[in-house]
Amino acid sequence: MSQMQTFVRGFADPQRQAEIQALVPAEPLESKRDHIPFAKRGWRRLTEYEAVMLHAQNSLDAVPGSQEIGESVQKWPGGRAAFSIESTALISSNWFHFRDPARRWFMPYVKAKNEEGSTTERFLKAWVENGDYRMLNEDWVYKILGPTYSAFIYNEYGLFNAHSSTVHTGLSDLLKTYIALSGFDKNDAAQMIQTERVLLAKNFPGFDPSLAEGKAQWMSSPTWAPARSFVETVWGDTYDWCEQLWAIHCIYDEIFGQFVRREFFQRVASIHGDTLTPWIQSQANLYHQQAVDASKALFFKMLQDEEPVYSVHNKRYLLAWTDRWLPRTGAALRAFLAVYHDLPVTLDGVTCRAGVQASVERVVDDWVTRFAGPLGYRFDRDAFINDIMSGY
Amino acid sequence: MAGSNTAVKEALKAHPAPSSVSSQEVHKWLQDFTWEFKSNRTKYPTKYNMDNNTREQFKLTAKEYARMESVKEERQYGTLLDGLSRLDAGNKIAPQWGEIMKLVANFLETGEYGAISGSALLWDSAQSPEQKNGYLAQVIDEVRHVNQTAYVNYYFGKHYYDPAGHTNMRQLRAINPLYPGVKRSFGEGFLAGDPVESSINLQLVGEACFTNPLIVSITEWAAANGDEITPTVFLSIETDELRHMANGYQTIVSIVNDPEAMKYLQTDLDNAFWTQHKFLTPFIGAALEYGSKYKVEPWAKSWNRWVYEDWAGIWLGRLAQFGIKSPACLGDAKQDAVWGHHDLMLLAYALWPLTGIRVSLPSTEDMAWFERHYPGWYDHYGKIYEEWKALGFEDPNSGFLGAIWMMQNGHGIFVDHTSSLPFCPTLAKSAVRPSFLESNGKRYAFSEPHGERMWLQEPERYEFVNFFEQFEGRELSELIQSAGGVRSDGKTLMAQPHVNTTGLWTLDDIKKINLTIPDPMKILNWQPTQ
Repeated sequence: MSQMQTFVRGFADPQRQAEIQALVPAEPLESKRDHIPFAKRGWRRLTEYEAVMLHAQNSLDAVPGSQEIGESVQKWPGGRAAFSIESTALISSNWFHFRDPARRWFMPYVKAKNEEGSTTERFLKAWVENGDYRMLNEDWVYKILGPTYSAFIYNEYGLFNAHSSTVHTGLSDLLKTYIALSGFDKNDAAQMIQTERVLLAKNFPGFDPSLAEGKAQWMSSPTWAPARSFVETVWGDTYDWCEQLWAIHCIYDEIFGQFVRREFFQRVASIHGDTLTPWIQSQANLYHQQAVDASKALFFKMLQDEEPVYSVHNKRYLLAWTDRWLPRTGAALRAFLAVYHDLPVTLDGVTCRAGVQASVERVVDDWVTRFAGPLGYRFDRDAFINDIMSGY
Repeated sequence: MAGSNTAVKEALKAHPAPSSVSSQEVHKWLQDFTWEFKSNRTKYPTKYNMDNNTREQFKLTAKEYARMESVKEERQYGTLLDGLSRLDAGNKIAPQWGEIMKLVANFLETGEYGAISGSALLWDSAQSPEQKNGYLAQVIDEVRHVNQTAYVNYYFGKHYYDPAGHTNMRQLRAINPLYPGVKRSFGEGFLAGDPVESSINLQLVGEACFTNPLIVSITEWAAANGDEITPTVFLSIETDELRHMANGYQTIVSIVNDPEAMKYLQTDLDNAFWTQHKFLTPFIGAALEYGSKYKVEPWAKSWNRWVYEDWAGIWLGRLAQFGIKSPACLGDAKQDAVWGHHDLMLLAYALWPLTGIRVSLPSTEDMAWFERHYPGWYDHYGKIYEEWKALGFEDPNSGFLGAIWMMQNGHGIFVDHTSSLPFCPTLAKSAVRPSFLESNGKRYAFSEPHGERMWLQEPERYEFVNFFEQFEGRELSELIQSAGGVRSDGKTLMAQPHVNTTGLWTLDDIKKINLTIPDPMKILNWQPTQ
């Protein structure tokens, strides 16, 4: 007789399930089903966003707010702990206090991104098959979407890479989630530009989908030099992970990134008959908006407004970091304005000095509203804008 | 079908302009996304040279990744929240299994969390954009896996008949003597160290070697014990693991062409295997065989197939062309695969009030099964359990605690300083060869020479206060209460030494025992009794 046993599924096998039911209590052994009841909620009720991540980090008790007692049991060569509060100059009484206002955890995040991807697929199909590409100004396609747009890929890709060490070092679970998703979005933003360029290559004879021209511009054009310097510094030379996040999402991408995406590529594209680029960039703008909301939750709500001890200390650092990164951001935008001289089509009110100044004022004033104002950062707005406009 | 093909052809003929872009058409440009600059170097440097031109196998763009993962998420959460909820799946699980999942899901969550940072470390270190892209996908995958394993506890907490422990294991684990072992291998082992060393721990060993026995075996044992929740989640996790194994393989591919790599690679592989094995082999085996009512394949047999034959034989065999050999410690690991989980479970029984779950001693049928598959089991372990049961192991009025019995009988429990796991030199049947070393006026216990060698080479990496040192002098019931180990009535323990519905232990029952946590290194003068 064969000794082989047949696998029995306990859920479905009547006999086995009857045996199990004989062991199941008539009433639950515990009436309280509140998840992580020890944790402080960010909202009235515990959300799934919190349930699936909050206090997952098995950190040492030197990280304030941690549930752990003790320390990390394997350290780096030299003896440094895995998660170190000295990884940033900012101090929190509770690093686990952070909540992403968008409540993004994996499931809703990929669902939203998938919807964006599906919608894009359908949009591209309609855009091509309806012949929308025929409206495009060809010089815009070959002279701007060729080299300039692909140079911007490097900007997004570099900022994406600046998130690797911040993900690793971020001091709590919900922080790591927000940083990782923001980094992923930056990678996506770079890839979406290339998606558009591949589509253009299929519809415009001679359009080169390679990044050769863009890389040449990124590496050697004065238009991009300060931007490249900013990205290289924040990626390769900045070790404080909070400073990186502040510099990227709260200064540079809020001023320079928003200008390039919204005020230049989205706004100026339209006068060149380009309805595709604004669509693609609208996703990157959404990602920026979500990163801004989460960054404000971190730097203002958590580290200042609701920080009982170290808010003044933190503010001092944020002001100093702004002093360090704002001029570099202004320089990046000032240099970028040279691109307006290459435009095939100009339009009063949009590409003229007054139009561009209005664009610059919009992004700077947005930044003042969202960051400089709440931080109490004082600077000469008009001088800053004038300096930027000197690049026009 | 023929008709639809014709329609597609006609549509393409009518609309010749290409109107879509596949993810591969985008991905093929990825290697051109980067540029050289002076400070374009990792913040976490590796002693290896990772080739800048290394390619990645799965070639996913962000949007394609989201499309694939979104489908999996819909299936998984749809099954959990719709199908399994309506079928009352939470109440169809054998109690032993529903209890062990309190630990399994949470401990695995720890590993997945460590892997977020470990993958980010590699994303930072790699220079090849394709490789970075692959590691990035793993970072996001690991966020997914933390969410998923946490959701298992969350779901059990909502639907299973004893939510205590499922709801707050993230708190209870702070006093669990087994948990530092998880942190060591699954937590910091994945993220604190040379990036390539982390990759070997995480991808080449943790995932390529132990994912199959961990996830596949657990789903099989779960299903046998009435649990359809765990397979729904864990098998969905497993679908990501192939990409992670490929990442590990590509890490090795990216370094092996440098002759210098072989100076370190074999040692790093040996250490990583021992680090991961030291926790995973006994823990998975104990979870499967002692956390189940219905048995499937003996752990030693599964281990032999997945670890010894599949990984050490076939997987590492593919790397033999680069000069990589099976770890030298494989023989000891094989002995551990037979006895290590029995040793660990003996300590879990002895320390049950600190585990946060309801454990149950092997039944008569269990004992027969253990003896059949592990000849000699009864004489070594079975007799102890019979004695403990007779002394009132399950009875809250007995005042009996296995840990006290062990101390009274000269069986000291020590914490292995490298693995952070407890061991008992005098009762272990696994590959235990204890040693007790002194450094800077402090004595350290080691259960075997492999970990001892790792400590001797880099003692600063294993500087930590162990469970006994940390809680020495704390009264047991007070410690349990402070870690949230009491039910909502304010007195009944979440942990129990049986899975019955009556005769539940309370804080007072523990208080009566009057156990103050000792440091065995002191009371036994740092030496095991013979």
